Amino acid sequence: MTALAWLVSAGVAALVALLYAGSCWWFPFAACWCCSGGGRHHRKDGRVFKDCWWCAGSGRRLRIGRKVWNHFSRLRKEAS
Amino acid sequence: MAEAAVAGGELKRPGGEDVTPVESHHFDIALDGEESLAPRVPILVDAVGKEPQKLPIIPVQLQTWQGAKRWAATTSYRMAYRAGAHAVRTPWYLVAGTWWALWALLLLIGRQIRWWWLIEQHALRQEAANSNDPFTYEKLLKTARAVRLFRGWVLLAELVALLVAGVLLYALAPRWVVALVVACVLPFLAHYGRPNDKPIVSPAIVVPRHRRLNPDIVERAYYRAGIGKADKPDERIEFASRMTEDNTGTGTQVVIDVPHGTAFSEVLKAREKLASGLDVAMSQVYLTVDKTSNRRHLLWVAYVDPLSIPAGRTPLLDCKPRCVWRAAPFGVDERSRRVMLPLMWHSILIGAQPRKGKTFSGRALGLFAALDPYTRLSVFDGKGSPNWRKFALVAHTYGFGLLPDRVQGDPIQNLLATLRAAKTDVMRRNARLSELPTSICPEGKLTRDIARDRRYDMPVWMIILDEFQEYLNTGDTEVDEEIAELLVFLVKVGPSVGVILVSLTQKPSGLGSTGKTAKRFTDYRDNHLTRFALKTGSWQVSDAVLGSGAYSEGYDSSALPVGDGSDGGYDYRGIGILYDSPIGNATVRTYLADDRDAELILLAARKHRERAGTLDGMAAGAEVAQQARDPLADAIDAFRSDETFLSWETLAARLGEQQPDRYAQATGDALSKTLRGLKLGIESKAGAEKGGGEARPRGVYLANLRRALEQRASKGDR
Repeated sequence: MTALAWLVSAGVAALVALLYAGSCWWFPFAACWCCSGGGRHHRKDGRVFKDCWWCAGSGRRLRIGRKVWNHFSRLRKEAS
Repeated sequence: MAEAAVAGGELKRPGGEDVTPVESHHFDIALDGEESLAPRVPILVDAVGKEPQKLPIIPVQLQTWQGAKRWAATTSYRMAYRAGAHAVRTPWYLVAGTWWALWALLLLIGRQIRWWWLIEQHALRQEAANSNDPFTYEKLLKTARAVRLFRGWVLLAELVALLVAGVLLYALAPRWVVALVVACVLPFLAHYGRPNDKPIVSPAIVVPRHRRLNPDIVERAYYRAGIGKADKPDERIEFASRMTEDNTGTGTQVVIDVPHGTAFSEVLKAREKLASGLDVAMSQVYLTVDKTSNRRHLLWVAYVDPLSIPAGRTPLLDCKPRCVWRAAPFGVDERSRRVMLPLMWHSILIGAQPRKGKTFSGRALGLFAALDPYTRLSVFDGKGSPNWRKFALVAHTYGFGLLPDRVQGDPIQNLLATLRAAKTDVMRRNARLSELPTSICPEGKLTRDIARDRRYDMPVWMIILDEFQEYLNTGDTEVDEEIAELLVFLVKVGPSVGVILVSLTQKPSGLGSTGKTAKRFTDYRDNHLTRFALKTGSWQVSDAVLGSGAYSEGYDSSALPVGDGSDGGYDYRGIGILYDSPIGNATVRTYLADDRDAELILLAARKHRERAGTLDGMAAGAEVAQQARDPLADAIDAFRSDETFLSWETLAARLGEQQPDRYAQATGDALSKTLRGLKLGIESKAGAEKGGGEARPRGVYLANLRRALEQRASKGDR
């Protein structure tokens, strides 16, 4: 591919990454894989339920991008 | 021998009982009785000795009427000035105010939005996300949503209310109400909106530099002058009072504590540096040590140089009779307070360079005494200047200059007679006062009633000697010595029996040469009680006038400003340092009484004396001393109107007829010798007398005698 194509794709990738990072900053949590955000698992009849074992009942999971960010942020804080 | 023995680790008394160890008990033998070793209960005691200092209820500026008036005047002037300045600037204020008010509206809107959206919680939520804490995040989010809802309603209500009010106001209310509302709201908005460093209303009056005395400047001045150190905490200058304007309204004062160990004399020595540090003239800085502690002193800084303001004419110009027992108005001090100098029981020495106001200040005291009809006055002027001549109206005895003349006779003889009489009088008074009963004369001292009573003949007697060193240097050693001895006697003993001595000199350092009289001179000078030194040439001369040791206390009259106003500067004549007076030390600007004022006052004084019946002595026409012969004048008088030449014999005979007490034994030869011995160019010539026929005896021409008289007069009156 030509250099321009490389540049454009790099720029687009950077933009996407930036937007994703911003999104992770504003919305740090996403729906839990397991319970799909509800936080509980119901029995078929719906009367009995228990908390989702994955998210401990919160229904949230920390997004991957946010996890990455937190990791590097912690490294930086500890280093200073 | 140990009374308390240590037994087994405990202190035990010989009796065996335990003793609580006293910390300071480090003697082997108990010095006090046994009771004192018992533990004592502490008793509270009042702190004695130091009175709590009460600050004035009424502020210092308002304590005196003068101060209050001045304060009211300055304050109202300032307010009026400010009002005017601001009135002119009002359009600018409107423009700036509107601009900042609009900005304030935007600021307020932003602030309210932040309040609505609970922006401060964002950090907490982020923190929860950082630590992967979804529960906290959830809680926070829930709270935030609820709060936002509530706050949103509140803001909505506010918006609706503002809109409604605005519309109603605009539609219904008259224009002026709208304007009033805007005018009321605008300042608040403008104040909120403007940055802190851009004030809308600028001050109209900026206090000029020399008035602004604030603690930083004072501290800096002291540190730069070498008193105290800024970096060491226990060597700092402390302020023991607030900085206030003093109660005459002429300066700022503050009480300062110098570091421990710094003497007040060091502060005095640094006065010049202090003045430089405070950015004022040296004569604006005054230091007064506090009575309670040498560490503490009062610093007073005048707004303007006080010595440049003349004191004004003397209050004696009202020509009312005075009382010498009261204090004489002398002048004003650096704070424009009146300096009233008590004269009784004192002797005053005034010394200065010529033309500095010495005679005028001494004369002011003489005028004061003259206005008291019951005070006897003797005035002797060694230089014979015209300043004192008018005292012939009231003086009991007087003498001007050193040479005799027709009016007064021989001044030196007058002086001798006066001093001799004064000495006898002093001794008589002492004897008489001790005889008087205590009901009339308590404490054996002269009282006002005794002084005014004719029977006792003990009036207060003021003897003024201007340039007295001339009388100690007359050329006749015997006379000098006698005068010196009498003066020393009088200055030592006189004041206590009511003889006041006022001596003025421009050569206070002494006569220098011959031993005895010079010693008497310094004796006489040093025994004066009160000293007043106007501008002198050097500090040594200042010390000679004020007394040795005055310089080390900081009083130096050679540091007084010079100038007589003729070159456009200030007139500093008449400013002197009063030292060791009954009212303490001060820098005094004396009241002015020039020759015409003196004449006015003396005429009035003479009237008072005539009314009181106390006009006596030479003022009343009596001759005091046995006048020395004035053969020249007598010889001139002996000529009849149509005669131009007389022989010595005829002259002697005629004088013998006219003044037998003097010339009865005179012969022509003796007369000729005397007159020619005057060295005034009188020559013995042969001539023809009227009615003498053809004989041409030796004699003298009238013209020759007259010329000699003129020559003597021109030599005598300097």
